[in-house]
Amino acid sequence: MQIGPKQDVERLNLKIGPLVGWLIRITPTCKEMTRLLSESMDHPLPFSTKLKMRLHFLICKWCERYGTQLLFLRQAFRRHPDKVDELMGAASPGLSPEAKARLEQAIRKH
Amino acid sequence: MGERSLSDPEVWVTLYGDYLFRFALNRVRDRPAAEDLVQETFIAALAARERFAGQSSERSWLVGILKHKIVDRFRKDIREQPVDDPAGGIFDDEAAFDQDGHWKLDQTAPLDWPDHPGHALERKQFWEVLSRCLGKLPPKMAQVFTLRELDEVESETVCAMLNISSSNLWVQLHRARKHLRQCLEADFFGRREAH
Repeated sequence: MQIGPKQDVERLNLKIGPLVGWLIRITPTCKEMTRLLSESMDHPLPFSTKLKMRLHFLICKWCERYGTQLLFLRQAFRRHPDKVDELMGAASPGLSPEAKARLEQAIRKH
Repeated sequence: MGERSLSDPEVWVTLYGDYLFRFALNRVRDRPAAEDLVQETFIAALAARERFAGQSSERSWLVGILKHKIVDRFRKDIREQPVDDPAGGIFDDEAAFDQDGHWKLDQTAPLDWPDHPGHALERKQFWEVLSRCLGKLPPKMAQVFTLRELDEVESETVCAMLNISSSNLWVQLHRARKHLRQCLEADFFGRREAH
């Protein structure tokens, strides 16, 4: 059974076994998990940290989801980098006519 | 030479000028600098014309050159870059969690995204929402995120380019990803329902 944060456990009156209670105590908080999940995409984390994160996933599906969704975002951006640039760009002004003339001249000189 | 050849450089400005300029502007956030970069790109492209293999489109070939120019420029232009650190609000770490540091289940806990995951990428609306979400980031945070995630620049290189520490980079990226995930969930993947 996957259980969630402490206050929900209390509110929903769930029974927590000693194993799950122990996992809640020794693994990072969800807040800490979001920071670690992001950092794991930028640099390698120590083995002990990675292990604690895996243990946290055993009791918290939301953090696992969060990690999957961050990776999904990364893939989306990296597979289609130009989509965002096209849409972001369309909203902002492009080159001024003067700048275009300068550029054309620079090309002709070469 | 490859099967495709380049168009006449005379029309490059008309065809690609605005696109390259906006691409540069999204990254350097300075209009004169962005214009310089576009010019450097065209000049470098003229010199390297013979090496255009025709494997990619002309535009992606030019974008490739521009990316190198952007990295070079940042490396040369090392100056102290104060990083804006918007405290509170949507970029604050506190709001999403309770006092024990756990998700608020009926408010902030990540939903199970439907349509998961590939189909969304085919939809125009997905990209419109994502671009809008990216546009809401503070400029410096958006710049860091763009370099790291759209251009796939290595972390150490981004730090060197922007003259920021690793820990600063990680905080910025963490906040950017958190905001984008949240924004996409709210505006694209739909309403929050009972878990």
